[in-house]
Amino acid sequence: MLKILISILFVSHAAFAAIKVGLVLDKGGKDDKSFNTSAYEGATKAQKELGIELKYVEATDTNSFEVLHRNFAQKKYDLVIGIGFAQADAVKKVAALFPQTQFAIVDGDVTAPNVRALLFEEHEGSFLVGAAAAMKSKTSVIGFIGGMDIPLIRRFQKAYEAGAKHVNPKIKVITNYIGVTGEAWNNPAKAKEIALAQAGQKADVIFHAAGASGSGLFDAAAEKKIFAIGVDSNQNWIKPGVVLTSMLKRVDVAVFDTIKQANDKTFKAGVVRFGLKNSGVDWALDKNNDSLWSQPEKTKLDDIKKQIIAKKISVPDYYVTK
Amino acid sequence: MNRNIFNLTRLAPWLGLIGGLVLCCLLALFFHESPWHVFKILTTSFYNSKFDLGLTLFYTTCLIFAGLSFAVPMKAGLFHIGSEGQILFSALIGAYLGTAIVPFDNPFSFIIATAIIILSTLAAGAASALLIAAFKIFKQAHEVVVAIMLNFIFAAITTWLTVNRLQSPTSQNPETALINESFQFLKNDYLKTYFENSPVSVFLFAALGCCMILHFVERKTFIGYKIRAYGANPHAAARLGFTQNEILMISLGMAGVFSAGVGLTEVFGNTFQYKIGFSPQYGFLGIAVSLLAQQNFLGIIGSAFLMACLHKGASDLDLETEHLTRDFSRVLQAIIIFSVAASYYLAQHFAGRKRKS
Repeated sequence: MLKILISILFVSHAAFAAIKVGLVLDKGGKDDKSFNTSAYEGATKAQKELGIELKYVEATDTNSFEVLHRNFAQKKYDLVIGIGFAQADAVKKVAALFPQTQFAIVDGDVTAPNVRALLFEEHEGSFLVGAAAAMKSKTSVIGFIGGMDIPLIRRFQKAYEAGAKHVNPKIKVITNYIGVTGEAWNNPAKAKEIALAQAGQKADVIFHAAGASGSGLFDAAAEKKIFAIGVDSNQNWIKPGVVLTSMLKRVDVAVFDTIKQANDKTFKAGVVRFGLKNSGVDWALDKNNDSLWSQPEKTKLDDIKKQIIAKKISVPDYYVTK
Repeated sequence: MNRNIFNLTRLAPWLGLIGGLVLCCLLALFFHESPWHVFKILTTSFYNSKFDLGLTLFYTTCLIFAGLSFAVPMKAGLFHIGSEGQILFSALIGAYLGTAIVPFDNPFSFIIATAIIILSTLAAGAASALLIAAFKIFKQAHEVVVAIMLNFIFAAITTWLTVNRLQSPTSQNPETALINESFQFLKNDYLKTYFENSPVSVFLFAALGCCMILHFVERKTFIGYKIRAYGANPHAAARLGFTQNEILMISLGMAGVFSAGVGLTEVFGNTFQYKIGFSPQYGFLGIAVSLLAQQNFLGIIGSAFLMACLHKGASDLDLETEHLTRDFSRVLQAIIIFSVAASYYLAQHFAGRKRKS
């Protein structure tokens, strides 16, 4: 016992040759099975495959972002990655103070010589799953559950509606938001209530963009025997047969690529956009939901995808046209 | 009173604090972390750098205001938990006025404009708190129920206004535009520069001043006496001619003003805009701050600082250790608060036993 105690007391960190990467997760935390989980998976993949030294932290409040970024920079981390739009100001400020450190931010539009901004075209993916929902809806009523009513989520909502209308112009989209505080991202009970209410209004496919709250939708969908659509991570596995597909936002790929480039010393600052074109957003098809889709349906969806990439279909972007 | 007993009750919170820290460190052993390392982080993280100290003092400022907002009505026997909603509402009003009012280019008009903004923010806080008093006076509703529901209503109002009416056009984050540049006078003042541009601002001194003034008001003025008398026994206070309505209005009005203090600290001392989700629930942390200090206005300064250090230490624990996560550091926070609070009762218990023997 004493030996263990001593060894714990005098633990020393071995020096690594590979780069040190700090990952600052949003308030949702690494187990939200959605946005943060995706970022965390990308980073752990890099840790396994590239042998980088990874340290992740979860922020406690909006003011702590700056402290965390600062601390990583002060500890001479080579690359610090911030996850979520809330960190944009912190990254902007800290990146200016530590020009030697490389920074990356997901969802935040920051331009600085040592910052790489990883932006996602969520509206393209949402349009696609909107089309998917309309194709699968028998009642011509579909639902949308957002976390909080903020511009980012409206971007999902608007394109989702447009996608559904593209396939079926007469379709009705019921939209609800879970809450008005940050709790909305972590309130599965309320999400379930809303989903049941929407099912009561004959919605038979419901898409959520509500972080960890989404699990409530999956429960409700399984109960009412309707379809749900996941978001951010591939959530098809959570309830196979119920989750129609997931709107993938490949934060993991973006994070992994950024770490890889920093490791290879090819890190470039600037804005990088991830859309359907470079598979940054996509719809998820795997063994968990393959049986739900017939070949013509798959072809039709892929066709819509190709048209969006070729800009033959214009997808409304809430950020551009409010 | 026996001198030893006096010392024991005085020392109790400190013994509780040390006991809590020791417990935390022992708990860390289960997670293969060095207890000494954890102890060092918890006790030193607040002054690692000037920036860290500045941030801790910023938290202290907000927690003092939030603590006062709970403590004042508590003196009158009211359990006021509506601070969070008032903070959000007043902060949004402050941010809105800061963007809407454009002072002319002379110092006189600037001072008037600043005064108008600050006073109306405080008034917004007071008004939102007086709603609770109104419900209690006219509808005999219990203040706890009204306050907790108003918290959500204000959260809904502020979020809706921010996203639909006041959304900053240059940002996709849910936040209002920056307040007028001339009102950002705290941005580069001496205090900010000294603390490496951390969130701390002169509102810290305002908060400390409020504690001292309240300490005086409570003990030496008629209003303080009225509130205390009502808190001790409402029926006896009524006999003395102090009506419930008057006490409710005064104590809740003051509570609202202090809630608005948090809003001002955030909008005029830190971010210069209203950001959705800026508050890590100061209003509720304030309850712990106030209870820890047993509603002693000077004690609130100490307990707010302790809570601020713990809040700051919580994110540092996550950063500095291998296995301890944010959730674990919340457990540690709870243990420390619990042991400090328990120490009061233990001290009273022992003091009581000694007196009997």
